[in-house]
Amino acid sequence: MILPYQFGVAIRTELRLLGRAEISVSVGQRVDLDTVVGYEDVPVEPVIVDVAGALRQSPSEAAGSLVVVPGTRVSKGDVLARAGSQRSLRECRSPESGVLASYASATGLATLVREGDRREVRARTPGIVVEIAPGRAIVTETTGAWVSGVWGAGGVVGGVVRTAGNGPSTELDPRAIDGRYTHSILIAGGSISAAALLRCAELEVRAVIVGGVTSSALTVAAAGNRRSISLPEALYSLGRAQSNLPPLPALMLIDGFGSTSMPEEAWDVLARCDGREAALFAPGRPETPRIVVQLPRREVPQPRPLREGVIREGAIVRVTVGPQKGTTARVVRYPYRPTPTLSGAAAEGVLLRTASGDEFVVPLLNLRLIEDPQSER
Amino acid sequence: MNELFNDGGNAKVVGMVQSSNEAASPLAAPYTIVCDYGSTWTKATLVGAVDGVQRLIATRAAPTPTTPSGTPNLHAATMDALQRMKLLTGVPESLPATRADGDEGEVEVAILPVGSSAPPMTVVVVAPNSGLARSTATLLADCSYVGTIHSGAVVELLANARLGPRSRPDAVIVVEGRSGFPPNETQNIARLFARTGVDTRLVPLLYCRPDEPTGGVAEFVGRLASTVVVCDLGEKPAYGESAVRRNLDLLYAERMLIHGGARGLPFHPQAASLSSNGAQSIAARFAAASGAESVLVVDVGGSSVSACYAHKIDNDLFDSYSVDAGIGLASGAVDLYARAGADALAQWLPFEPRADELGAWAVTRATTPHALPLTLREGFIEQAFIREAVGVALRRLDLKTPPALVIGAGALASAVRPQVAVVLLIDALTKTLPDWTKMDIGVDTANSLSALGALAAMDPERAALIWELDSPRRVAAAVSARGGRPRTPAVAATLDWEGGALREIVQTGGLVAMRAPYGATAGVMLSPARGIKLMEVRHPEAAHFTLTPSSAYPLPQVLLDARPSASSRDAHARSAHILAYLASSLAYTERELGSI
Repeated sequence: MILPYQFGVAIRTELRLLGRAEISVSVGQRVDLDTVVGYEDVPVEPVIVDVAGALRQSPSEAAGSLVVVPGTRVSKGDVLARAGSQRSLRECRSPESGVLASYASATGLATLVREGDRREVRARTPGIVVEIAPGRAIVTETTGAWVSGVWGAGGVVGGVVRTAGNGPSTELDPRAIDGRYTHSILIAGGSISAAALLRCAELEVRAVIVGGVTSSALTVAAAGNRRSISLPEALYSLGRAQSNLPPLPALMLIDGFGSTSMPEEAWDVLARCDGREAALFAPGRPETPRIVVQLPRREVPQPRPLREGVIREGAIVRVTVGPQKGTTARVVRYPYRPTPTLSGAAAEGVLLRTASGDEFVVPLLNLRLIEDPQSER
Repeated sequence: MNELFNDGGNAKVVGMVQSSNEAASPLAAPYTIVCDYGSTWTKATLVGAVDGVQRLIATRAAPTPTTPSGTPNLHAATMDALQRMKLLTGVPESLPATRADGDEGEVEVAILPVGSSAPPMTVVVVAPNSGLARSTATLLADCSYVGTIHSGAVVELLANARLGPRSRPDAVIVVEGRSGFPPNETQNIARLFARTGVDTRLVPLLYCRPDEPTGGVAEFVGRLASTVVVCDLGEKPAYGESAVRRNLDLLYAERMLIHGGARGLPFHPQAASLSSNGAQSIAARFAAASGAESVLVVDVGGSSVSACYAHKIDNDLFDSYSVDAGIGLASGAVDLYARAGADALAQWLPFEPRADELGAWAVTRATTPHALPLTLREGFIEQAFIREAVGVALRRLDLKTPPALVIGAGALASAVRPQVAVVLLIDALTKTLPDWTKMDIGVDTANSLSALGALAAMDPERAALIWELDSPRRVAAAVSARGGRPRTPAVAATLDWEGGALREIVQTGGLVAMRAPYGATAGVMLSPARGIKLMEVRHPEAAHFTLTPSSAYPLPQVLLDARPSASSRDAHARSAHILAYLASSLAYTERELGSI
């Protein structure tokens, strides 16, 4: 799996365009979040033209009367087929501009693919265009930092990273949120309260990245002035405008739900990105939420590709559930002896040691990989 | 060797694998591995010869990984499950990384895919008239992988804007009855095909027609159709329905394997992808046909909950099943919490949950779907969610009569101990069918329902042979006793076997398990007290039945439920009884129960 917190890496992002796209950037060009990288065709319904009917001919006769071969671009009003004598000339004209895609001699119908609506496409991440698949896709490379979370919602948003709070376990104080954070991606280490979320919405903070949030805080913030809403409704409302309420910001949780803190490794990476432009991807499950931060090349002279790792001896992991939830520790031995579970079966166990020297065994399934020193650097 | 043992992980093994050096293609491979791709777990079940007898050899589960874009990575899931299987059994000895190696001689196993991990399909059903289109849609509606069906006559589909210009269904089914389409429909059909993408062959087309095509429309559609199915769904009864379903199965299988990046693995050439529920439904029919008469299978998964019911009437088999997609114990936990409500969940807990504890459990479970509960408190919350999930499935299935055999699968078989699974099933059933009297209860710890159901779709005789030996493990015969005053004797129970006997007085409100020795045939006599209704008897009569052990059911056990039917008023009393039962059933140690 891709290691979740990485600094000084080159992140490649592919952007696919619809239809016969026109790409307006070139390889090597720098793009920002607002840069128009191309235009895509929004698919539209083809038009069926009854050629044989218009000419009052059989379908096979009408095939011989076509004056335009399939594959030709035609304008509105252009003659597609013509039949009859000069005195009784019958014509079939194109009802729309587009491409005559096909003619079916069994039915006498022609298919005209209309020119679709053109739509601007903007870059999803800041960076440099490194690859172009003409008419289809572009690949950008961002040099900087990558942090992935365990849960996110609210869509894809861009902004400048602003850290709030003093460390990975500080709960965000609503009074500390002011105009500096407007339109930014706010980073807070610990958990966030309903009041702080509402304050962020009021100040139009675009996204919040925190260690965790309690489901009750989320429900209260999403309910606003309504009496109560259900938890799924609250999760759905993130990043979307509610009636009479400013939309809650997009949200990415680094550690999970509950009053928890951010792993120090994640905080270290995000704190180094303060003031930098970034794109947050939090379209909702099942996609992995992540933030891609752009850094000047001089700060990352030799970027590496994103590293992948596995849980093995020496790896740093985070316990996700159980009595040690939220503890970060190093794997001392894996595989270790099986650990009993409530189902009666024994699970694969991993022996962990914390920085303070405590050792304990946790099922492999209850761990999340944070760092794997043995992965290729 | 026919012993059943637990290797310490989540694996169950029967027998020892015979070594095989015989090289084979997937079609003739000596072993079949059924890979059941769930949203959370991929379960691999190995089937092959043990001492010359076809057996279900072992089962192993591995988390289903997802790519950053959220697509299940079926290739990685398969390889991980096979690797775990290999550590356990030595099979497969050699599995090519991809079929593209061109070296099919090395294939030792053929993989049968089961599951519905690709997104649900959107299907358009079009027919000459709306009646035929809708009746066809009804026939297909219970395919679990079909999410949305747009059905109707051609003009209806075009005119009602149900198929907008940007709609891209996953399949279009054209159904033609004996009367056929009117000749002037060609243009509308062409327009529909253009609108749905069939004309560019982006979207597959199934053309269902009787033996003789009728009219020019048939010629037009037939030329475009990627698959022609000879059937007549307009007849009463319809014929060829299974052929249509199988073709839809194949389309979905293709879609699932392409989505999951697993196209190159040595899948059995004849395999269509059944959904797990479809396979379980087949297995339920097997169980009903082989003596149980009426069988209910309940599967609580990570993102769906399903129930299949099969019953036999005068040698005819009938079945029905329901699937609730989106609710479950992993990514579906939040929606399950919303559906059930905190109060309904809390009634199953022997403690007062903290404010928002249940909601927090649901969202945590959604973000850490593979995590195992380690404290009994978390375990009881999980069990409360399982009860409500079973309840949702049963309410949707709308059973009128209690089944003779209930089998728990999914979380009921893997997340809780079998003794606990029995209680969870009884509790959920009592809320839905309070009049049940006696049921056999089993758990599918070896994932045999999906495996044998999938095998039966291809090789029913082999599946039947394996079913005889390796059907899901029955845990208990449950009997209900209703009525009476609290804490007064309700039933005098006697369990007799050769060389011993066990007697117990069960009090009203109690839940008691009685076990005969391993492998013993035991006679059960239950004498209800005055005012107690037990099975079909009343005081002073007694109910008699026999517990017969088998290789799949070696430890006869009877469970007497003398608790009142569930109601909100006595919910806390009910959870206290559950706690007492768990203490007496050896499902948990006293130390564990004391740690809540």
